[in-house]
Amino acid sequence: MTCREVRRGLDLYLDDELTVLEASRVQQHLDRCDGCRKTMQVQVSLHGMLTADAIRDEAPARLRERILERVAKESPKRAAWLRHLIVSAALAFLVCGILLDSDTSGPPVVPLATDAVAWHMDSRGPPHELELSAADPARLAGWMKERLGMVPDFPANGVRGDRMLGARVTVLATYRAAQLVYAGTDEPVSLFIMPRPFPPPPNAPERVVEGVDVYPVRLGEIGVVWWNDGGHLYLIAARASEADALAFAALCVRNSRMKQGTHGPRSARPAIRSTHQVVFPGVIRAQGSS
Amino acid sequence: MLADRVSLGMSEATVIDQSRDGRVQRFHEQILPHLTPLYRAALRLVSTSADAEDLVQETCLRAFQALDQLKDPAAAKAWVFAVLRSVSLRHFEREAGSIVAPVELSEARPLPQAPSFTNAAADSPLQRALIEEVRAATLRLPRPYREAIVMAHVAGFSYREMSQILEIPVGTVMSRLFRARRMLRDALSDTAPAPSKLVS
Repeated sequence: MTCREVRRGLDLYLDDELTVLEASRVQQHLDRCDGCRKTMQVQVSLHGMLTADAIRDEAPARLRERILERVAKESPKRAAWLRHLIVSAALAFLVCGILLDSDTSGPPVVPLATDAVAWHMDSRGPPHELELSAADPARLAGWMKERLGMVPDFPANGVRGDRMLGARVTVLATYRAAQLVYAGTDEPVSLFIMPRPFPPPPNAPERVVEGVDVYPVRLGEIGVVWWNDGGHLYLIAARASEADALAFAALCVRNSRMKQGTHGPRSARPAIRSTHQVVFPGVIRAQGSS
Repeated sequence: MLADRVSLGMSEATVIDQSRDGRVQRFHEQILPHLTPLYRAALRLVSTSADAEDLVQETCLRAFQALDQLKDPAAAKAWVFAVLRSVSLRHFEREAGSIVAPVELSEARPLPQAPSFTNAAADSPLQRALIEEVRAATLRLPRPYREAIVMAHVAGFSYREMSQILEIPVGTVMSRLFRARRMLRDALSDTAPAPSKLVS
């Protein structure tokens, strides 16, 4: 090995990231090269100081006690919505007849919906629980690009002009998704966006909104509507009627079309603000109807 | 499966209790053993012990709430550190106005010949002073570089684990670590005591 190669690999050598063979070759070079050995000594010194610093400080006993107290308080609260979720999910099994072990190529739909409901109910706390507290669409778009590598279209406001509260990263059916929370009139509305489409299960109840197939599911009091658009999965969860959830879906679809049809490239398009007027979808029909 | 539980006639309250007890037990077994590493990492991500405690407390609470998502107990440490990272990002978001300006990168300069730290002991006052300087220099690093140092040296993660926790490619992990260490060397070479004073 050359000195240049060895010095470039010293970090990996000290971080135990080299194979045995590679480490052996570096060691052989160091044994016979004073210059590289001195360079390594500087690195070793820094590593040593960082390690010496790293092992100081024990977690205070009071911190452990505080955490256990909070966990004990959290359990009943958690249990309340978990109880709701279990009953709702059981109902969903019975009413929708959707099987967990379906042979579709994507993740099962019930975990998708139940996960979304769980995240939605978990987010009905103070706004600071969100990872990003921002109503600025441009900032939100930048956050989604950085955190999830996607640049999806999304409405800046809800159906009734509900303002955006913020967003966080969630996991739906094992896939990472952004959860955008809008302040609804009485209850918040969650819009989940996943950077991948999600194939619908066979025989799923279907509606057509603004020419796009959407799939409504109801878990207890929470209405869920999801659809695929532009290579992304969109999912709405809200304590709302199916018509209201479909109206939000229509808003999202129209917003995406408007951006795609009248503006430039997706990444360069500024977000738009929806009107404050309630606009229900132009076409909602059941599967099979015209 | 939920449907099975319901169809078997198991009472709702029993299901809830078992679920809650199981989560608490898993929290004790899989998350609490990492409390001190989490606290050490938090102390190097934020500047005060009070902030570090708040960061760890919120991390543990969120980990408890989301514990059902942890499928592999062997991955508990990396998982809870990913939660810490997420929580810390929100902290930085709130404190955005007070983040210390980035340290300028310059040519590598050698550190003063420090006493051996290979046994990770800080015996003398000079050694302790130097370690304090390391801590201070780490806290002055820009966040992405500070995270890399913390995950590598405090948490002891591999490049691949860091890649998953920090959500960046392995190559970026390597470059961040390289640059972070160079910044630390620069900072320490400016502030460390003269080599002759370190010979104790």
